[in-house]
Amino acid sequence: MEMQDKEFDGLFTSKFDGFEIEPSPMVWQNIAAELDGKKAKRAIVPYLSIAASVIVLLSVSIWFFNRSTEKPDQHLVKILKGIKTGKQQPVIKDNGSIEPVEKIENEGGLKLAAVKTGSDKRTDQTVIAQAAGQPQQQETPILTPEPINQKPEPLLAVLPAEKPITLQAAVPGNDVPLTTGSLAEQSAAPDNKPQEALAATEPGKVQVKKRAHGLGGFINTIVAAVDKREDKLIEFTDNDGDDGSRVTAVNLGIFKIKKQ
Amino acid sequence: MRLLKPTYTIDELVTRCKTGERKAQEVLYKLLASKMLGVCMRYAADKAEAEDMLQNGFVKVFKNLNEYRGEGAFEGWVRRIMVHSAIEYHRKYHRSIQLMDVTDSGHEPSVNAAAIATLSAKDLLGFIQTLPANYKMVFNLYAIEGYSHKEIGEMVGITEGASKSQLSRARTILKDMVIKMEDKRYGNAG
Repeated sequence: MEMQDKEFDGLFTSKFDGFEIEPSPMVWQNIAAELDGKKAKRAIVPYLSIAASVIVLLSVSIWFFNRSTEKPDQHLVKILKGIKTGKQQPVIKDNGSIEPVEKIENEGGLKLAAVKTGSDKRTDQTVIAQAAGQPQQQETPILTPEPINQKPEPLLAVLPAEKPITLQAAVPGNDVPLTTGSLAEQSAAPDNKPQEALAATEPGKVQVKKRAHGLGGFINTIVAAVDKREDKLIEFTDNDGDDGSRVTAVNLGIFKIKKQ
Repeated sequence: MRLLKPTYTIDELVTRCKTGERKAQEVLYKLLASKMLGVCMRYAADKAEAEDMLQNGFVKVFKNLNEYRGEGAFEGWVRRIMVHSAIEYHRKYHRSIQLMDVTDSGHEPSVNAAAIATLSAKDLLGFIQTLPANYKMVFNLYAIEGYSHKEIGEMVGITEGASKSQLSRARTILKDMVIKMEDKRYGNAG
């Protein structure tokens, strides 16, 4: 026999009439505590923790900005001094010694220098002509973009022949032919390259260990010093071929982004 | 000589509770707590949730005791506060489970009254607790508490129509559960 909705509801109502369940003793303790005003105390805690986080974030960022603004300036001064003395950009060789850079002229009339950093961990096979990325303003003799009337050709750098090595110009995207247009863009790039240039110009102080590359790498190093977590507060791309300024990961505790 | 524990009427207790006397509050709480937990259980998914609702409800009872003017039964007043505490709890923790669109499948399971009569309050409680949060809310408020769809709409923050369709859907699900339980019993017996 089918029943009406009212009857159905009524059966539930009657079943629950006088239905009781004993609560655990904790409930009264919590009520008493809450009536004593402990809830008010609890309510302050989130504000305290927010205030604490703000202070921590502020102090970290102040410290961070002091570091990241001072150092590059010092580097720039040194670079400019080095350039005024008329020194040529040196070449770092496998054995760690430094030699003046070779000028290479290609058919397109473009001059560039090849820098082999064979001791660098990552570049056993790949040689990167860092100079191609040097901003023009530094008046480095190694890169003088001249009008190209012929068709643009990929740049090749010549190396001391130890073993056959493929040379690649450090133009963004290794396969892209170098054009005046792209050079102009690079010249206008942010002043992240001078830091690298400095490391290479200091005579006798060739860093064999892996250095921070570009501003991104520099920030990564600083963040890593402060933030010991596996996912750092902020991470940038860290390689020579890139412009080094792309954010690859952000970790704000509850909010995480990571680009592979 | 008074060997027996002193007994108080609810009105006496309420008067003493209004002055903030902790002992009177405890006695009043113990007098009503298990009955009110029985109410909260129907709105919750489990006992822990129900106890949270009960706790918040009783804190409100004691803090707003001055608003109780003695009109109507005190127990009814407390019960209404518990129901509101349950609604508030759902608003806070189950907001994402808003099932607004209820499509009527046209499927209407038929159960007979005798089948439900054999079930215990605990069985029925188990059914209600497994309902989606909104259905559970509307079924409790309408079928057991006796609120109208208009009142439910205002209390829960949904339209009258949504309240009606959710009630209908809740009934269908409950009937299905009763039938399944019945089948299981016959299966076990045979």
